[in-house]
Amino acid sequence: MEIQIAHYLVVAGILFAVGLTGVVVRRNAIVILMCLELMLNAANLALVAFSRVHRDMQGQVFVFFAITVAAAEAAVMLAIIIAVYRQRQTVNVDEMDLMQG
Amino acid sequence: MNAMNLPLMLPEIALVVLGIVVLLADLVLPKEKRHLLGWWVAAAFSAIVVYLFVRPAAGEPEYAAFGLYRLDGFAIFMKKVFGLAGVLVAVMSVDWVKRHGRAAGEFFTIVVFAMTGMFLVASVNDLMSMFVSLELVTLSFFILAAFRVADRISGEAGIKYIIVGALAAAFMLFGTAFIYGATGQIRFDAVRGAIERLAEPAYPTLLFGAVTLLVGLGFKVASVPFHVWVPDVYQGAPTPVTAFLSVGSKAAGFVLIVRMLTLVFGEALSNELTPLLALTAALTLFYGNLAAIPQTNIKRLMGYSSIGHAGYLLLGVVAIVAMQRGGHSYGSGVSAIIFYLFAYVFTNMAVFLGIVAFSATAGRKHAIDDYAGLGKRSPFLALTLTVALLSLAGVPPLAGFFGKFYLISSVVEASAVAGNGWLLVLAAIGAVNVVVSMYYYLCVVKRIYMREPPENASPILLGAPVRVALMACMALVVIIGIFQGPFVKMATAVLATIR
Amino acid sequence: MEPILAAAGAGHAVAFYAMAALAVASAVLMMTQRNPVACVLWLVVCFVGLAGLFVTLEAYFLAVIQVLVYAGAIMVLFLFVIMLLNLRPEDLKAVALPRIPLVGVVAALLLLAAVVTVISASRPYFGMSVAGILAEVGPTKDSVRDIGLPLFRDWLLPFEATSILLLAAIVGAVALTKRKV
Repeated sequence: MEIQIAHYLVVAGILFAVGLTGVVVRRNAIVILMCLELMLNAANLALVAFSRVHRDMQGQVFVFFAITVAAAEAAVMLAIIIAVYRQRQTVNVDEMDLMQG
Repeated sequence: MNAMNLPLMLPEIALVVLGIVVLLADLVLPKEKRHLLGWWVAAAFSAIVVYLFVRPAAGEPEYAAFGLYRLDGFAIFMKKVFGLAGVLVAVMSVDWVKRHGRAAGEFFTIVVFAMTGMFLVASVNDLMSMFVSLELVTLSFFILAAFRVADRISGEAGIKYIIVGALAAAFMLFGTAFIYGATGQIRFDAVRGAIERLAEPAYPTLLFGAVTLLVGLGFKVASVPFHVWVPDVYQGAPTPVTAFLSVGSKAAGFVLIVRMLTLVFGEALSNELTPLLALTAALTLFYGNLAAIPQTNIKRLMGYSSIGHAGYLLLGVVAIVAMQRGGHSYGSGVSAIIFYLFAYVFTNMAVFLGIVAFSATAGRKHAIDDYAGLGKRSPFLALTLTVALLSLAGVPPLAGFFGKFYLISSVVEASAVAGNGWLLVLAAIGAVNVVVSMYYYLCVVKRIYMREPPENASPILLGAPVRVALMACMALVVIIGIFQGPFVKMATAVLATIR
Repeated sequence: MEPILAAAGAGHAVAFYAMAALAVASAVLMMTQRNPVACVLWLVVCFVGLAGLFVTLEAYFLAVIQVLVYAGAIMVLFLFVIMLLNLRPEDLKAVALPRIPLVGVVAALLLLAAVVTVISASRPYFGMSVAGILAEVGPTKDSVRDIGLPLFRDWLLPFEATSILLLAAIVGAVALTKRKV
C-alpha cells in the first residue's frame, strides 16, 4: 500500500493528542514542558507534510520558526522552573496552590 | 507590495533600538539609578505615540517587508492604544521597580520587547509573522509575570501562565498548519483568495485549522473554557505586569481575531463559527461575572472581571461572523469592538494605577477589605477608583456603559440582519450580565465609602506622575462617556480602513 | 542527490511505518514514564523518529536540524535542568499517572476525540500519494538552499522578529535565575 499524505497527518494528530493528554494528566512541570514540545513537533510534521502537498517550501520555512520559538519557550520555562524550585523545592504543579478562590 | 519599505516600520525599529539601549544603559548606570530607566521608556513610548499621531495618514493600507507588514488605520489605532497603555505601565513600574530593586534594566527591556511584539501583532499580514509576533508578546509576559521570583506566588503565576501559554501556542501552530494545508498560502490576502476558490473536499481541513487557531487565540483573550490561568496569573504577577497583561494580551488577541475574521476567513466559515462563538461568549460572560462575586482579593477580582470583559468583546466578534453570512456589512461589530477596547484599556489602567498606588502605602496583600474607608484616607484616589469601577460595571454616562451598549446593539443588529433569533438571547445574556457585574464592582465601591478606615490608617500618598496619569485616565473615561460622538466617528474611520 | 525513497515504492512504506511506530511508541512511553530522565530519553527517541519521517518526505535539512538542534541541544538542556534540580525520589513518585480514574477516562476521551477530529480533517489527503508527489517534483537537490533563500528574502520580517524573541528569552532567562543583581 502506498503511503498517503494523510498518513503523516494522522501520525501528527496522534502525537499532538498524546502530548495534550500528557499536559492534562502529568503533574511534573518539566514533563509537562516536554509534552508541550511534543505537541509543537506534531504541528511541525503536519507543516512538512502539507509543504509537500503544495510543492513549495513555505511550510518548511515555517517549521524553522516553530523550532526557534519552541527553543525560546523551553529556555524561559526551565529558568522559571529553576527559580521556583529554589523557593519551594518542588516542580509538582499540584503543590502550587498558594492562590485559591 | 513588493518592497522592503523600511521607513514604514519606523516605530518597530525605534522600539528594538530602545530595548537594546535600555539593556546597555543598565550596565553603565549605578544600581540606585536604574529604576529611572522607566522614565526613558515612558518618554520614548510617548514620542512614538506622538509620531503616530502626526504621521500623515494614507487612506489606503500601506505594505512593507514584501507584503508581510500591513499598516492601515486599524493598525495605527491599536498602536496608539498600546503605546499609551505602555506609557502608563512604565509610569506605575518605576516606583515598583525601585521598591523591589531587582534587575531594573532587564525588566524594562522586556517591557519594551513586549511592546515591540504588540506593535507587530497590530500590523502582521501573514501566518508566520503572526505566530512569531504573538509568541514575542506572550514570551515577554511569561518573563514579566514571574519576574519577582523571590515572591512565591509570582513564580507560581509564571509557571501556570507559561504552561497554558505554550499550550495555546501549540494549538495556534497546529491550526495554522491546517489552514496552510487547506489553502497552500501563508500571506493573509493569498489565503483569502485561496479560500474563495477552495475545493469542497478541503473545507473540513480549513474549518479544523480555523477552530484550532481560534482555540489558541481564545487562551490569549481569556475566554471560557481557556480561562483557567487568568485568576492565578492576575493575582500572582507583579501589579504593573498584571495591568500590562490585562490590556496587552487581551487587546493583541482580539486584534488577531478581528484580523483573521475580516482579512482571512470572510464569510466562508460563518455558518459554523457563529454558534460556536456565541456559546463561548455566553459561557465566558456568565463564568467571569458569577465567579467574581465571592472574591476577596482585588487583583483576583480584576482577573475574573477581565474574563467577563472578554465575554463582552466576544459579543462583537459574534456580531461580525453572524453578519458576514450572506455578505452583509459587519461594520457595527468591528467598530463596537474598537470603541470598547479603547474605553476598556484606559479604565482598566486607571484601576491598576489605583491598586499600585494604594498598595505602595497599605501593603501588598491586595485584600478588598483593606480598601475600607479609602474615601477618608485619600479622597482623590477613592474618586478615581470609583469612577473606573463604575465604568467597568457599565454605569451611564461613563465610557464602559456605551461600550457595552454598542456591543449588545451590534448583536441585536446581527440578529435582525442574519435572521437568527438565538442572537437575541445572546444579547439578553449580555444585558443580564451587566447587572450581575454591577453587584461586585459596587461592593468594592461600598467598602471605599461606607466603611470606616482601620484605626492606625495613614493617608495614602500619591506621587505627582501617578496623580497625573490617574487624572488623564479618569478624564478619558468621563469624556468618552459624555461626548461619544468623536470617538464613535474615530471607530468608524478606523473601520473604513480595515478591509 | 538521488531521490532515495521516492522510487523505492515498498521501501518507502516500510520506512514510514517503522519511523511512525518509533515516534508514536516513544511518545506514549515518554508520557507514561515516572522518571523525568527516562521521559527526556524517550522524547529524544521520538524526535529521531520524527527526523526519519522528515527524511521520507525528503525534507533532509529539517531532518538534520531536528536531530542536531532539537534532540541534541534542547533535550540536553532539559537533562541538565533535571540533574541540576536533583529531584528527590518522592518527587519521582509524585509524578505518577492520575490517581483519580475520572481524569484517566477524560484523558482517554480527549485523546480519542483529538485523533478522530484530525483524521476527519485530513480526509482530502487520503489518496494523495507521497511517492507520487516526490516523483513529480523530482529529486530534492539542495534543501538548504530551498529553505535558506526564502528565509532571508521573502520571510525577513518573521526572521527578524525571531531574533528579538531569542534576545528577550536570553535576557529573561538570565534575569529570572541570577541570585544577585
